[in-house]
Amino acid sequence: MAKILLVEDNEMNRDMLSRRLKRKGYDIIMAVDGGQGVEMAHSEQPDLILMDMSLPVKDGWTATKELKADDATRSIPVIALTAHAMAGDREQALEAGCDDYDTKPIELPRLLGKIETLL
Amino acid sequence: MSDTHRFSKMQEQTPVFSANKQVTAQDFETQLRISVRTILIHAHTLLELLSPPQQGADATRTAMIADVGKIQSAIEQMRLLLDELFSPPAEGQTIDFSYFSATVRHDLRTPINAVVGYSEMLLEDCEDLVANQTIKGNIENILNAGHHLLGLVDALLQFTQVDKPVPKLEELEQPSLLDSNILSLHHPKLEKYKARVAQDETGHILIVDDKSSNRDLLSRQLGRYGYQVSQADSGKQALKLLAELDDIELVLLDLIMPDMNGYDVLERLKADEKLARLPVLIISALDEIDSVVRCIEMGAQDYLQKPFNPVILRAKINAYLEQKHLRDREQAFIEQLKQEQEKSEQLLLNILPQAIAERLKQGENTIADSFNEATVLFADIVGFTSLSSQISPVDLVKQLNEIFHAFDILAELYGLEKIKTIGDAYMLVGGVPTELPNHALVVAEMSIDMLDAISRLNSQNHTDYQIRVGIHTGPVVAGIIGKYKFNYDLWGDTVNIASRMESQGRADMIQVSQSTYQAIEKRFQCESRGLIDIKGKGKMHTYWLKHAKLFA
Repeated sequence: MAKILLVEDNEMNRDMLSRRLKRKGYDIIMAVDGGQGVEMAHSEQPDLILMDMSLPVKDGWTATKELKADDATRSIPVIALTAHAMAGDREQALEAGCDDYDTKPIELPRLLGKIETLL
Repeated sequence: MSDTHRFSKMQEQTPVFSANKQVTAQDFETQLRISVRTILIHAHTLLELLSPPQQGADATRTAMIADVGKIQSAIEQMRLLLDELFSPPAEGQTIDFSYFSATVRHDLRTPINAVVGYSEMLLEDCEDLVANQTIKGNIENILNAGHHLLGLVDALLQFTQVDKPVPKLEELEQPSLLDSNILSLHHPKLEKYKARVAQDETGHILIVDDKSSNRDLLSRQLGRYGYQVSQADSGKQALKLLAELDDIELVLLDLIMPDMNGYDVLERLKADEKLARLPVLIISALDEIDSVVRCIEMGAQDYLQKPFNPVILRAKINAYLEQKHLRDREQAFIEQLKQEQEKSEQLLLNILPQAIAERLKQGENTIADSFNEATVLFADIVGFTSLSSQISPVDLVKQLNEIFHAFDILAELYGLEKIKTIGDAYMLVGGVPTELPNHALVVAEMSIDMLDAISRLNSQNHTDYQIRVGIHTGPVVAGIIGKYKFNYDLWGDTVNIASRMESQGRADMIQVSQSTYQAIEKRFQCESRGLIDIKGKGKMHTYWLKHAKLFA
């Protein structure tokens, strides 16, 4: 069973997405900010990270950059999640080192497709 | 899938605005609020559908209820954001577009995402649920509204990013880009209204809305205009306040509220005699036009469309308050008129029997009714003329008044008609104008009580009045003749004979004629006086009425 780390500060989004993914058979662990996300990526070694971009303490771009700069976590695929459907967000996310990118609201089948591709 | 593609797909699904229409911020707000409302309504329905535990505890249902709750709080958050975003700018302020855009960007999407996500989850849950198409339909409606909201927010983002200098309020020649919200009191076309609202009507306004944000917004605004404002967060509280406060002059009523909705409140108000006249303005969204029509049919005065245009809000409230004040004054005048009318009617009834007064009011000028049989009584105070030289006229009239007052009370009790007093004489009749089958018996009873009344007054006042009473039964004509100083009077020989019975009687005695005697002798003890010479009539057999027969 694949272990996914969900880094998301919004409680509702976290609750929703984690439950939906659990239903699909994934093992979900969660972090509420960028700092905690980086820590858990180290300690838990998830198979994949879903990273919200606008996070408190340490935002998603910074966290991803740190993860991708660290040998211990570099290989973990990161999918950036953003509420901003603005042109430029995608480029910014990919530039930070994200492996893929998806926008909220989550279209589950689309996200699942992206997850499966990267696992 | 590229972002652009996703957008175009979204907008295909949910056409936001028709292409050729000039889009305003108000259009956005209206559309956003419609979706928010749609979601709230469906969420509410969903909760009701899910709540009744059908066959024992159902884990799926419980989980679903929790998720609907999350949709509700998300949409509530959305509503607060919208209130903040679209609150009318204070005088002299413009909408801060950069703030607007940032808020939309960061905050507006989050609750919508939650709505969309949770409703998708709920749809998945539905698969596990014993087939319930209604539940599924409600969730789908929420989901669709959520998608529509997302489309709107995207469009709003583009709208606010139009690279165009934001016009200053003073420079605004005519409403264009963001008409309604910027159309504040500074607009030249509104100068003449400014003069009017300068003399605002004052008044106490009750705002009834379950959303505290709506209430606060409105009450702040109305407070600025100098109105006194009270708030109710439910229909029940509104009715309670209206019962407690008697100075509320206008009600702003929201339609969709839990427990008791706006219709219920309106219905109660209109059914309440005291509150039926209170002007009610319905607070409505654009999609509620049918409801508004229904409310106006139910008696609401008008409606205020959300978002409130400050000028229209103020103008409407002023107009209806003015109308209310005018109507109140009219009502007070009518009330006063009614009181005066009642007074004069009471006066008329003091003078005339009710049946006769009615006929006069209906236009009869002369009334002269024949009665085959009536009993007429005269009573006269013995030696009144000599008495009047011993005490002051004022005291005399006072004592006379006391006696006649006692007689009046008796006449009323027995249902007899007092005709008049002539100096120290008192005249009454039984059987006229309203028929009284045993008029002679009743008049006889009364005459004995009159003697009792005199002796009681004498012992009470240390006086020594005596009366002579005469009674006769026969045909009379009764009515009103003449042009003014109306007086219901009796005519005919019967009146003359009754008067003779009194004048030719004795102190403290009741003299009755033959015809009266025949009518009462079974019930009253009488003593024959024999034949006496009645002035103008010749010899007549008369009787002294003594007392009622005990075992008659």
